[in-house]
Amino acid sequence: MNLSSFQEEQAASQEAETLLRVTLHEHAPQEVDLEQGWTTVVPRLASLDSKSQPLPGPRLVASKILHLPPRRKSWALAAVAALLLALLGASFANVFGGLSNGNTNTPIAYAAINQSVQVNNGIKLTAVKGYADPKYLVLYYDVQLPKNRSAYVTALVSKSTIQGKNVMGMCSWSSNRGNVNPVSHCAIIVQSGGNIAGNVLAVTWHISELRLFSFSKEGYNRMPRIDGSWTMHFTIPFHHTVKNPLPLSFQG
Amino acid sequence: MSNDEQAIIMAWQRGDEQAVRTLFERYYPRAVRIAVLSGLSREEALDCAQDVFVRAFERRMQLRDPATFPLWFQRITTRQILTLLKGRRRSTLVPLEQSGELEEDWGRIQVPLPEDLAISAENRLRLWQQVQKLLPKYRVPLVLRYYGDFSFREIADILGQREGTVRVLVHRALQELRQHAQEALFTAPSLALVTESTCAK
Repeated sequence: MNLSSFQEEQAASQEAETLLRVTLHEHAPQEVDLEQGWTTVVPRLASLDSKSQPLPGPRLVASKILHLPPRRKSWALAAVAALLLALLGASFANVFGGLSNGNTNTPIAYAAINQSVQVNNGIKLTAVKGYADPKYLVLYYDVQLPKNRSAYVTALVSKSTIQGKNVMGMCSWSSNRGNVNPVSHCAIIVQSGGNIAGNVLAVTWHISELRLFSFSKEGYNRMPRIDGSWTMHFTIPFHHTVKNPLPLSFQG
Repeated sequence: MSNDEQAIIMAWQRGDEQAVRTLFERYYPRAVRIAVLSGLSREEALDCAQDVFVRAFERRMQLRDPATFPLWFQRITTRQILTLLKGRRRSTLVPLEQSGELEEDWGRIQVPLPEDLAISAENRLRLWQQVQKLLPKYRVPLVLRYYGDFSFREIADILGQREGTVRVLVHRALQELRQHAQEALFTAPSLALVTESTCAK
């Protein structure tokens, strides 16, 4: 195997791995009811706690409650129920406000980028928003086609590098209806290079190939290619805590 | 692992209520997701993750080094998932060492999938359908590798197998996905590569 074919195979492997990662993230349950799980687990932990040897530290509240006299137990259970309701309310507030960073169910605050380059043939490429932590770098981008190019229904970046690594994205698309230009909404997820010193990551995205898709009776099987060289430089906030699993809000 | 995280795990070992809750919030959703991706139904996955959390708490004093908690917890999770999956499938699985698969060509450990598959939601869905068809022995390490982001060595530790065995299993899984994906492309050419969506971003 010569060097170039080896490199091509490596690049294809990385693309396949990225595809698999995105697919698995996409099909993992996004919402997991913590409170429901917690209320099921606590009594079991408490019964374990009461059976096992005394622990050096404080015991679970639930364990203590189980050993209280009946009248005090009902008061204590009411207090725990109130606390759970308060926690539930707080978690809802966090989810909808997007404020908390500690909960794995909380959506990530993607930073807006909104940087565009004009590609040949009236095609516009826009880096929309991004996210980075020691493990992942996610970039959402749009490819906008001109109205008059109705033969092509969508496009995507098929060859590009981020921080020098070959990447490839996944796209959905909106059809060319009414006066709206057709736009492909795409996402790229790559493994980033570990932790950095600061709180801002400078990103270099170099694009060398786009592919256009046209519709025919046989399906979406014609793929004209646009070669060139376009580079975007931008910065996004760097989150030092890894979001694993990484919630993706990609609409595909 | 940060000192804070280690302190939480040590507090959890002492039975500290706040630490128990914190670890539950951090590890329970992930355990549920890995269980679903590995092939359990959502209900089974919830039960499995709850059992794992209780089981881990029961055995917490066996954890010597708090820094190894994530791997230790994942080992308990994966074994519980495999037990449940094996309970479903009563077929006899031949140990990989006896199947001759270890004599595979190691140069092709990373098998590329067709590039076209990387395009549409429909094809991602098709890939997911193929993942669902994989046998647990292939699917579980695949999920640990590409969702859990564990190294081959860590997966070997989790599954209690040799690193080489795990590499072969993942290789086989990718090979099966590629093969089925290619068959799907040839047998269903009318399926569009690109799908329409409302694109509410």
